[in-house]
Formats: sequence, structure tokens, C-alpha cells
Amino acid sequence: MIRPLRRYHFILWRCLAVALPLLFVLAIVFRPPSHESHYEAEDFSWKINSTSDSVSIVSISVKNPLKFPSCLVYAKNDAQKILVGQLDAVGDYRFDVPSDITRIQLIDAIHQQEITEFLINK
Amino acid sequence: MSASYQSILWNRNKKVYDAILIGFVALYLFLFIILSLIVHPTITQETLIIRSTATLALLLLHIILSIGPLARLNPVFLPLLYNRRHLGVTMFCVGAVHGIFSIIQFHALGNINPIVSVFVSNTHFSSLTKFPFQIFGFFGLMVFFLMAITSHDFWLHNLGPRVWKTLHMMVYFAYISIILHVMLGIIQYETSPVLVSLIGVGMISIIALHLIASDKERNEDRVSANAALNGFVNVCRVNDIQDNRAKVVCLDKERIAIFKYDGKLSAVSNVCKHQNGPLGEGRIIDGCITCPWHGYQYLPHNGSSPPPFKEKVATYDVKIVGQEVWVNPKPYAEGTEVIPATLKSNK
Repeated sequence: MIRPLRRYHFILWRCLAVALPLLFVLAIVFRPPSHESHYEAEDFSWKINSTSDSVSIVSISVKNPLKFPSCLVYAKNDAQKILVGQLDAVGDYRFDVPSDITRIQLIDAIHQQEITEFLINK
Repeated sequence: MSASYQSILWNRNKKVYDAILIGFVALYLFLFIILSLIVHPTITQETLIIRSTATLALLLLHIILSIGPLARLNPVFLPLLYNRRHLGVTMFCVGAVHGIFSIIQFHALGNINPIVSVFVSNTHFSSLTKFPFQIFGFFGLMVFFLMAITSHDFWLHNLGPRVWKTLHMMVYFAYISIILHVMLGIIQYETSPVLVSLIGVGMISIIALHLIASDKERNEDRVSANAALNGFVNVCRVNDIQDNRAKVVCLDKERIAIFKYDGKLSAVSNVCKHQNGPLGEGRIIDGCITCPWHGYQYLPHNGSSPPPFKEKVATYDVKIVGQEVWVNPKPYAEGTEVIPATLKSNK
């Protein structure tokens, strides 16, 4: 390494030695506090991670092959019902939903039939 | 070292290096996939690919960034430096798999270009927890792409050492970008303390290694000459230099390597023309100064590579008074013949 590069390296890593740990701490401290709800059913497991932000994360694991021709995921509260996604096969799914929802509903859209519904404990 | 360009100049060391590297990559992916399937039996293949390549690329990046300072601190690690480019290209390829699968998974199903979607699908720039972290990953990957495609000596010669080295020093900005990508991404919703701890330990280790190495370099630069005489500076005693080795001193603006060989002393620039490697930490092999990084060679009395090679480094006047070695810090033009100082003339 030539001397200007050594100097550049010296200054850069001193700056990073301050900035990166600071960022690391900030990223953890300001991580949104979460309230996690967990549900188990025969064919599904659900995890709802509610945050103080405007978004909650709904994780759904489909444990067995679906027994319905379609399976839409809705997020609901008293004022609205939002289509957030669809379950197709066995696997893990993750959806962002508004944090003010009170329940998650699975609908078989072809038969217009509710498959299951879970209340979200706040 | 070659007079012409080949895609890769294979030798036994490179083959061993690459075999270990490929073995490590395969073993890591295998173990990660097996453990993930045990812990999360319903994990999808796409998620498995994205997570395994992400963690592997991050691990390789930390290893790559550790090699430089480790080699500065202890020559034992020099073999790791020898073929670091292949490690870098491998890391880019693994990172690219992560990036491509992530873009397909999260951005390819909309009605806009997936690459454009990376930049416009999330505009929470004022939120720390919802910041569009994928942009940082994209920027880091682009830097690694530029580094990977210019890693060959063809580009080193055509861009010139200064531009090439500056381009490759951007790895530090790419590292910052990747840390931001991780901290504002997975760390925001991953509650496992294991991942957070591993990232923290990796980051602190990298910072500590670079700080220690840069302190060592700075201290070496601070060593001042004892006295000056007719432009010559007293740098050390003859016995301070081992046979076929060098003593490195920092005079004026740059480091000078004073080599002792065949009862003579010659001084050349410490900076190898190839990748600015430390010539003074190399040895005299077959009558040539041999760079410890990639084996580039120079004749000690004129700083020129033996034919047909054309690399040249600056040379310096050196003389011996009593048992003291004196060097004139004013360099001659690169490749200038300088009569070596002979040890027997002092007896």
C-alpha cells in the first residue's frame, strides 16, 4: 500500500470504528417493539408480529396440503377488509398488514366460504 | 507473473486454494440447508436459497476483509492473500444469487421492472424500521460486480495501479452498504439474538483488525532517521538486515526496502508495481526481489523485472559507513541502474 492509501485507510477505519457500532446500536434500540401472537391449528400455524409502527407482520405456515381449491388471506377490522395475499401450497408465507387489524381470515374464494379466522390479541 | 494475459495462470497453490474454497462453500450450503430444514421443516426453496446465500456471502466478505490486516500483522496469513481475488469473485457470485433470487421473489410479480421496483416499491426513507434496505444491498452488489469483473491483471494494467486500487478500495463502502442492508433489513424483524450477536462480533472483529493493522503501519511510518549527511540518511546498522531479506524504512514520502544479498546492499521502492504489495517483506529468490503477495520479481540493482517482463520500481543510492547503512531518499527514475554498496569495502 502506498502512503496516501495508508493514510486513507487509517482515517476511514477510525471513522467506521465510531459509525458502524453506533449504527448497530441504533438499529437495535429503535427496532420496533413487537407483540407476538402465536396460534397452532391442524393444518396451519400463525405468527402475528404486531409493532408500534403502522405495519404488522403475519407469518403463516401451511403444514399440510391445502384441502381447498383457493385460499385467500384477508386482514379485517370493524371498518375494512383487505385482501393481503393467497396461500398456494405447503410452505411459509409472510404478509405485511395494517397494525390496526383485529383478525385474519382465510377464505375459499371459489366456494365463497370461510375456512378459518383468528383474532389478534393486542 | 506473466508476459501475456491468460484467464487464470493456474499453479498448484491456486488449485489447492480454490479446492479448499469450493469445498468450504459446498459444506456451508449443505449444513445450512440441512439445519434450516430441521428447524423450519416448511421453509420454501426460494427462502432457503435467499437465506443460505445471504449468510454465506456475508461470511465470505468478513473473511476477505480480515485477510489484508491479518497478513499485515503476521506473515503466516500471507498465503490467504495470494489468491484473494478468487475468494472475492466467489463471494460476488454467491451474493449475486442472493440478489437475483430476492429480486425475483419480492419484485418480479408486479407490473413494473423488477430492478425499478427495488427503488420505488418502498419509499419510507424517513423511517428507520421500514427503510428500503434493499437499495443498500443493490449498491453493495454493484460495487462487488465492478470489482469482480476488473479483478484480472488485464484491467490492472489497463486502468493503472492507482485507478485499479482506488476502485478496489471501494470494498469498504460496499461493506458499509451491506451492514446497512443487514441492520435495516433482517435485524429489524429477526428476534433471534444469535444472528444479531454474530453480526456484531463479525463487525467488531473487522474493525479491530483494521485499526490494529493501520496503527502498526502508522508506527512504522513514524520511525525517523537518526542523522543526515550530504543528502544521505542513516537508517540502520548492517547487521540489522538478514541475508536475502530487507529492512524497510520510511523516508520523505514513501517506504524504501534495503536488501542484503551476496555481500551487497541495494535499495528500491517498497511498493510492488502489481498491487502495491510490500516488496521489503519479500525475499531474494534466484537473485531477484520477490514480492510476498503474488511473486512479482525485480532485480535489486536496477529495480527492473527480468526480461521479458517490463515492471520497474524506483531505485535509491545506498552506502555503508562503518557498520551504518545510509540511504539517499531521493529516488532515481524507475529501473535506473545503481551500483550496490558492498559490505567488504568497510572492512
